[in-house]
Amino acid sequence: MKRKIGAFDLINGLVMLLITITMIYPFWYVLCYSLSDMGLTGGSKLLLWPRGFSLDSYTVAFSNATIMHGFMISVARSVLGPLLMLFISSMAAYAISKNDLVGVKWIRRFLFFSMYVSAGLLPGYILIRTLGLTGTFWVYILPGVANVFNIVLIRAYVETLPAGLEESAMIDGATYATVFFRIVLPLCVPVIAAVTLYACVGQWNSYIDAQLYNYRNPELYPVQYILYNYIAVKAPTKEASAAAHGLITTAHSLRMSVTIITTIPILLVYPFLQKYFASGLLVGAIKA
Amino acid sequence: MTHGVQTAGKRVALQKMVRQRQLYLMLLPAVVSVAIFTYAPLFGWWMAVSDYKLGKSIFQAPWAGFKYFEEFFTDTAGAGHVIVNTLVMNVAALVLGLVCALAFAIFLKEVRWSKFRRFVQSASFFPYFMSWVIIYAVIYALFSNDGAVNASLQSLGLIDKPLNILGNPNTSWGLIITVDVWNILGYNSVMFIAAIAGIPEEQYEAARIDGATRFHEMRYVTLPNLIPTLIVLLILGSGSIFNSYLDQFFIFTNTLNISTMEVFDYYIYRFGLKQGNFSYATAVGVVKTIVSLILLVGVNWISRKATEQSLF
Repeated sequence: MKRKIGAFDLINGLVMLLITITMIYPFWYVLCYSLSDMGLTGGSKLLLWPRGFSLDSYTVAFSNATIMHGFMISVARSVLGPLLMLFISSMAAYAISKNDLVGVKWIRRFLFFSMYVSAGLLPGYILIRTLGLTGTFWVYILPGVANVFNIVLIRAYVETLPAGLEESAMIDGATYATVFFRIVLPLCVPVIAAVTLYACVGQWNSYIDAQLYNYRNPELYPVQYILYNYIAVKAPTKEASAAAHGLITTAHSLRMSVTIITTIPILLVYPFLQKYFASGLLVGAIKA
Repeated sequence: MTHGVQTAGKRVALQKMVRQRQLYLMLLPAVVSVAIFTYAPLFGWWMAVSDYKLGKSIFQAPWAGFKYFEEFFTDTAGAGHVIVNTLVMNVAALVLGLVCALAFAIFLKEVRWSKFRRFVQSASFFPYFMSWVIIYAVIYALFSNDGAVNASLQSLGLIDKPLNILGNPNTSWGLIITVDVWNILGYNSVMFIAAIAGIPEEQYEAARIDGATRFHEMRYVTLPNLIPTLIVLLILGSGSIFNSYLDQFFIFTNTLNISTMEVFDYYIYRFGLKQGNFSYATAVGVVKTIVSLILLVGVNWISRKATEQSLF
């Protein structure tokens, strides 16, 4: 009993299209502006398409050593952070999935309770200072290596694997470590991929840690924090205008191109992100 | 149980632990890391009841009693706006965010072209994965005084002066609530879309046999099936009603709109790290954490009684 396509479908489709536009257009506008020829844009009006075409603002951005260095810092933290997190969290997840581990109940409580506890910004700040992590790259990586939420997700997945696989290996004399790295981990690829990707995005998007801990160390600024400074300091930056000799660009268009450059890595992984997300692998498992 | 059995039990457990030593080794880095980065900072709460100076050990700080807590609770002129701002923005964003996502999921289900439906859902996540810096950069490009929206409205003659929504105390709440609802729509709707996928097709067939129209189906089949999900998400979300993202407010708060934009997390940052008043700011943080924890346990208890669903 199929219904015909009527006025409701058209209006509903239109509303959905409008919602989609509000989600995409702001970013599209920035892309168009960054590609526009600054000689032609008198004022900044709403654009559907770049006015003229110029890659000058990208040339300026890519020839700016500060921006490129920030980009490398961001890449480094987005690769190293998730790898270390994955290594430490997945091992822990496997261990707490063993119900016969002596004391496992207490270890689980110790880990899970930490999700609801936070000493707050300042005690955290004092700790990082006391550990001597301020002014180092490691302040981006170490605090997040044991992600309890991810441990819960991975453990839930490990528990769905058939127990027989492990048992036969154990009878053949394999150790827990061998079983984990050779058998369990390869079977966990879907959840591992989802968690890793999510961690990468988290690392790529952070900037507040740079503001809090590496404020005095410009060589450790991730690109997000550099972009933040471009927006917060509304005047054109000296280095940018110095690099801009001969090219027609403005501080405004440089902000736009840096915004786009910073967005591109997320765009590249977006199909995978939304696949894992829509499948509920991340969201639905919250209560696991 | 006799003494002999107990010691035998202990010996068996010990043997088991030796056999499981690799598992303990695998747990060690995670346990140590959680102990250091989550539990150890709790000692920092000592700062709230002592006179702490940055650079010294917190354990050398002299006892100050509860004067910093008193300061916070009695100096309502200074802190009252922070409580109001935090609650208004978080409650409104939570309720509107979930209700909009619910409506979005219901109407998205009615879209007949499956490719278009998938495209809309994909697009709805887009802002969620962007950093607050990027979001602000984009909003700034469109809505700042010389941004595209103001420039276009001015050239059309619709407004004389630019609408300064980013630095105006009258627009802070509306700005944050709108941005939050927009940002979280895709994320929130995933739960509802999953719930819709779980509604048995027979319910719709039965409704159609009874002569239900599309609106009847949405109103009397889809919506009632989503209400439990909505209630659970509302209850669980209310546990974090005092928490804001410093990433977000650090960038949206400026000297012009601070009176209506400042939330707890920013206030703590401002007093602690900007003004160096660690003891007072920590006391505020402790109050926030304890109230949040009570709230979380409370709503969790209500949720378990009312809907048989709970966080722990």
